[in-house]
Amino acid sequence: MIKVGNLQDLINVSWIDEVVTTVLNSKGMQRPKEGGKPEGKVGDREWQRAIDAGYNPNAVYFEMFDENNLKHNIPPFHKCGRQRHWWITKMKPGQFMPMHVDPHTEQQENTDRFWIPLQDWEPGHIFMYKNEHVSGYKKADVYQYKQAQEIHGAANIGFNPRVVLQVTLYKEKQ
Amino acid sequence: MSKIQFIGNFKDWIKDEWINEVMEAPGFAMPQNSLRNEARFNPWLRQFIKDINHVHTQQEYDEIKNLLDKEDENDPAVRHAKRISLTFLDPVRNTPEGAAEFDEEYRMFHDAEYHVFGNYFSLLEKFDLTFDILDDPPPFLDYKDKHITWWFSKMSPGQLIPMHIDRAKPDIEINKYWMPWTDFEYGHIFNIGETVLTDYKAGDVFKFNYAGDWHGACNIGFTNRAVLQITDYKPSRIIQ
Repeated sequence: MIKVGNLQDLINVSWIDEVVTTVLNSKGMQRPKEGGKPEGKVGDREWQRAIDAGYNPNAVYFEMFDENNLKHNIPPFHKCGRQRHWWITKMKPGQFMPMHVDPHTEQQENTDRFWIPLQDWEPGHIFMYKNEHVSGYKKADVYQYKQAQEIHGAANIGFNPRVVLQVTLYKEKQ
Repeated sequence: MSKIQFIGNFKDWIKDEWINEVMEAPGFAMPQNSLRNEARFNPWLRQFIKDINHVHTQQEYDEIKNLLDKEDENDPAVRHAKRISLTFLDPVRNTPEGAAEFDEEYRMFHDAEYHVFGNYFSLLEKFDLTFDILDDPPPFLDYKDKHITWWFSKMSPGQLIPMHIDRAKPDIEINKYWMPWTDFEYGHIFNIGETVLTDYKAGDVFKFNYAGDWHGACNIGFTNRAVLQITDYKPSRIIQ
């Protein structure tokens, strides 16, 4: 992961605290329970690998928010002529997301992926990109994936919920 | 924050049969204060808990507690169960006896909405294995005049232990050794402070000098992870 800056240096981020408060007090889409099996070859592979390792596809490992269940308008990031996809994950203490490759990146090209924590880092808030641990960050720091289709995962073994915004800029594969 | 010191790889010391046994043995499910673990040592509780690996529910706990209240307190097993086990098992309720040592930590887990009776990882110690590592002591260990404790933690995919501080008096000089018996794999997380140890090999040994650092672990990978943990300290009195 490459730290590319902090949103506060670029735009007004007064929306962040409001979004975090809303997310903390709302119930998001429960994943993977309410998500179902992802589509595509990568989705098939990741789903089966998790089940084979003993993960429960009907459990709730984290909650997800996007434009379908969050009324806040996430401020427009420059699209640079591409499409934009964003979502927010809420991970309570004891929740996690097994290491995985995101299935949707299979259909994308010219992709830039950003990982933007909406709170300061706390001990026990784990985000792993391959063997890299992202820690010590501040609210609104922006990290970019070195490769969009790289393996990553997260866990919360701390004592407060963790809220992270994820933004992808991409072109659909022709 | 204590310094994490890599002191070498000692895989040659690990016997193949030890690895096999550690990976196969069920151990007992942590957290420690659960009925199934207490039942290993208490015949009164044992009669109610047939399956040691069963994670008891709050309802089962309440039922056993009600039964226990009707039993003869002159029976040593009942007395032990009542005075030690159940209070030990229920720190969240802040019972006065037995649980004081655990209260703060488990209350913190409880307040963060961890299931304090959940099955987070398997613990294996001498009691659970056919061998004692101290019969053939690890070469990196300076055990002269020291008290040594050791155990294995084994974590399946999806298991975790929340951030915590090991119970130790800060004024005691203590060394902790963390020795994975499985190679690092993506998703095998041991977190101490801001650091996650990665890219290690089975047999690597890392040393810490104080148990008072916040640390925790989880397995969001795809294979089991086994780690030997050794603590040494100099007791205030040595019995010769």
